[in-house]
Amino acid sequence: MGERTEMELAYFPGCTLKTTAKNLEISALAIAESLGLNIKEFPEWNCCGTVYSLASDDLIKQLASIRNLTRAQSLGYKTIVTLCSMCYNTLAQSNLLVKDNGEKLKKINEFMSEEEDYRGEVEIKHFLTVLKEFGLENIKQAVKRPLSKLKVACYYGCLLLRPQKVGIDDCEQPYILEELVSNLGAEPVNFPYQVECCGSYHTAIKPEIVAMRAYRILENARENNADLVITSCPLCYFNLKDRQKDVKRLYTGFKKMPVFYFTEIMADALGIT
Amino acid sequence: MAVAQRKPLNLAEFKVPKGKVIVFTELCKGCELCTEYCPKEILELSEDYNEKGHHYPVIKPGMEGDCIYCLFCQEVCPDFAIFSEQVEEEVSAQNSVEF
Amino acid sequence: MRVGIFICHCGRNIAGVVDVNWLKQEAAKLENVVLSEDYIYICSEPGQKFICEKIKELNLSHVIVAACTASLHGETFSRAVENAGLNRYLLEIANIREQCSWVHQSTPEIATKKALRLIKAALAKLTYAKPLIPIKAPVTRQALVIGGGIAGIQAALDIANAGFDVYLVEKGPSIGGHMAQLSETFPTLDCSSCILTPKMVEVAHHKKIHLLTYAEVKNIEGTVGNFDVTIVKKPRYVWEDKCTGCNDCVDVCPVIVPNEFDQGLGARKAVYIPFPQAVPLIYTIDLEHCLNTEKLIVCENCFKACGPRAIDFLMEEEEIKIKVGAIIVATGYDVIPLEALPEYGGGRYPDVITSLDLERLLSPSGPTGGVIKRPSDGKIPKSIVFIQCAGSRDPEHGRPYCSKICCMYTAKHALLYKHAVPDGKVYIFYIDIRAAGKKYEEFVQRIVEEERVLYLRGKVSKVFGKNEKLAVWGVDTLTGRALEIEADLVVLAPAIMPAKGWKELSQTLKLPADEFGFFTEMHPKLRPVESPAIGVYLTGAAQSPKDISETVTQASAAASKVLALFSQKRITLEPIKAEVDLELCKGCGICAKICPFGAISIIKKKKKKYAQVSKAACQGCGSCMGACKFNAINIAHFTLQQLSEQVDALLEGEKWQ
Repeated sequence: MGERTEMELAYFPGCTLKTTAKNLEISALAIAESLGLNIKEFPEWNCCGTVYSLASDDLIKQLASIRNLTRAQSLGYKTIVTLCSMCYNTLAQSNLLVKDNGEKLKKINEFMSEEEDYRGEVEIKHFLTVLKEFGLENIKQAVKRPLSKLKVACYYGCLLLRPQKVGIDDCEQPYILEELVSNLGAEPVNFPYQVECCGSYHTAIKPEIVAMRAYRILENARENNADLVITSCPLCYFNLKDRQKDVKRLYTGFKKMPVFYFTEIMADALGIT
Repeated sequence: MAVAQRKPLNLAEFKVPKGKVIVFTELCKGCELCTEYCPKEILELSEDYNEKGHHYPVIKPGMEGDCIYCLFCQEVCPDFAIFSEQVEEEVSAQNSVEF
Repeated sequence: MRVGIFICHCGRNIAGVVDVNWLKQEAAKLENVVLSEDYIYICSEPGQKFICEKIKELNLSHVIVAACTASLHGETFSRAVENAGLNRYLLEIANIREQCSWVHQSTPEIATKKALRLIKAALAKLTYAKPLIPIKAPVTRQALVIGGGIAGIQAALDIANAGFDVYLVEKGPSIGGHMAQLSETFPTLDCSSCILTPKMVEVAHHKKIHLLTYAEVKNIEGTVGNFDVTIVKKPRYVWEDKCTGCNDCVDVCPVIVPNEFDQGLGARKAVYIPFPQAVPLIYTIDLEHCLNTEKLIVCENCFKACGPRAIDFLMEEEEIKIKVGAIIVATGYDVIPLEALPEYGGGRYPDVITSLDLERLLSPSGPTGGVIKRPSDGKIPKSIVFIQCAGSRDPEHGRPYCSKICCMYTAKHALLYKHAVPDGKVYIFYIDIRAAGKKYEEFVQRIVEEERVLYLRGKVSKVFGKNEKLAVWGVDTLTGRALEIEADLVVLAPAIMPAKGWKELSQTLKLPADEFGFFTEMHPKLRPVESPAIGVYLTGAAQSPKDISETVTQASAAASKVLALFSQKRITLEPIKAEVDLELCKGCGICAKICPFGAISIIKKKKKKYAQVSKAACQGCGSCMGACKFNAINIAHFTLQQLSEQVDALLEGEKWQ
């Protein structure tokens, strides 16, 4: 297949981005276009497998994610960019698992005999890393409507930063979102609960746990004078935003706290409607 | 994140010398050497001109008490147009030093 | 050539695998062999006597002992043959235990054949061996101690009191090290400065100790008994013989900077002494912060204020060359910086401090006069959380070792705080309590029981700021509960690491260090103060984390080794050194470049260039021999001829597969 340049990035949406997290995708792709980043969805991607793939070290569970890597490789892409933290984490960890272990790679390639052999040439990047590499100065210049005086609590959640070998920033004191947000003109607040788990999949069976955790996270943001909370993961977004009605049920005095994807406020700042 | 810079806790025990800057504005030729060399950066050029047509140094607003009598301006001025006189009052370092 | 072969059974160690009888018979058939005997434990007294007798009886000229490794009993057998009048370099040891019977236990036949080959190889080497005379070198009976903390001070005093000159080099402006920063020492709660300053003053006044402060060791050449040391004295800009320590210069200096001695919690001027009891009591000008630079001197406040006219901005660095016979490394430790502990809020919140910071706050001569205050607002904290093992016992962050002193000093800090603030609350998070010294356990128990300090067995997961205070999330594993504690002050017990500059010193001295930078000792149990570099001794925290009593013990131990060295007028060096064949040497210089000890120089004599070896510096490593294209340089007792004959004998003409 043809060779792509370094600048062409394969976009991997993942399942939720096409359904519940559509607004994340729309805003992100609009930003990419406005900044001149060449991000294109690559055809025939499949679900990354998420938690199932990460559950243990067994190779067969990595199949789903590695097939994505192979597809991108066969189309000549060197980098896959993704928006969902879960997809990022799954793809990156699977990639690491087989990249340095020739034996595992060989086994998987032999099993997926109908696909081309994965040679470990693809790199996974999260959209935030791509933006940082694009240059915060360049982003600052592209801002048309600075988000002045807006106090933003940057929420990272878990999978973007842990484990450290795939994390996009330091897991105790990250600052990649804070840097981005201050270049957009807003003021990031000190937010100690920014790396505390939102409850994740407990939302399916025991939403009270998520409600309790979301309460503490949002209250901490409020204590630090935040006007709104931004996040990058569709699951965190759901847990922090859509579960606020459960929070209100458990803690009657709770007042609504606005939650957005970071791409939504960024698109606003860049003047994209 | 920036590392929390430590502020010493015993600054009140330290005293720094204090000076008063005096400028002979008419002698100044606007070379800006004093402004450059002042270690506490308390000098800036005036809006006004002197008779020769040069801007002369003035103390930045609010920094009148910040001269530390180091005499750099006095030593470096080629025209002897600026000097500092020591002020006798004792100044505690508590407020005058930034960390 | 009359060779005697002695084959040891070593009980069942060798004889259980190798057929010693067959070996004895086969060995007897070899060329030049006049005796082939076996013995059950030849390293024993009767065994050694046996060797001596046989040498004299049969007038043996060469001896082979087929036994265990030369590292273990090489010296034993060498002495035995010397007792019989034979040169020890005409003895060869064939290792048929570690290199044969122990590793081929499942194949005794092959082991036996291999043992014969090893004996043949020893014989081949012996055939070209020459008797060698040990080199006697004079010993310069002066010592160098690097580092002026308690370890260096103690070692210097011990050597000086025995009557020898000592150069004590310290890179800071004063000696005293970290012990001078402490408030009180465990378990007696002696005031640290009170017990240290008498020793410091003794050093200052001792006629035999030459104190060089604000100085660093730049280069060391030579070998044990004869080290050539170059020391660089950094310019203080204050003349040592004129400064009276009157403090007039400090009052007029306009520059204020954080004081390193106070861990940044206290300030000093650009002209300063680090603490009031500094030895020597000479002021230093920190040119980096002074308004003047090396080229431009404008501010003369201190110069004008100095009565004795001791300030001289034109001072330059001074190079001092000395000759010493032994070196003691006492460079000590540092604590890991707060920035290395971000999960505990280190570097982010001013009220998260290290134990060394707390020592300065507790010290009566510290920045707060001994009152514990929060660095953020100066208020007295009403609740303190101590976190032990912050960075130690943590393989994930690169330090799996225990820093040894933290459990004790944390208990001490809890005690001192409770005495100062009786209604304050103390929480200590620990993994274990290590209180292994004399009266240490009693000390900790007293604090646990009497002082009403809450010891929580568990780790802390996060520390963050909450409404002007700090929230600490931890767990108490003994009750199984997660906790959140609101603290005014969080004190971390950071891991101990070797003092900065260990890498450079390790290269200068050819001193090996482990992956953390602690210098390696010869043997952790039996030779803890000697390093593999002969003539260089280790003491104190530079070798491994330890408290003050162990440090003083180790310092005296190192001093005793130095004194043992100095008790001889001349030192005996092994003659296993490089020798140059002048006919083959072309003077190309490759050996000189390769020599890691700088022992070879190329000299020109009568239009011919050739290599010359300094026998004192040569350590017999063999690098030159490997590098020489013309086979012109050999290590005595391991010549190329000997080694190649050995290899031929081992291979017995077989093609290597």
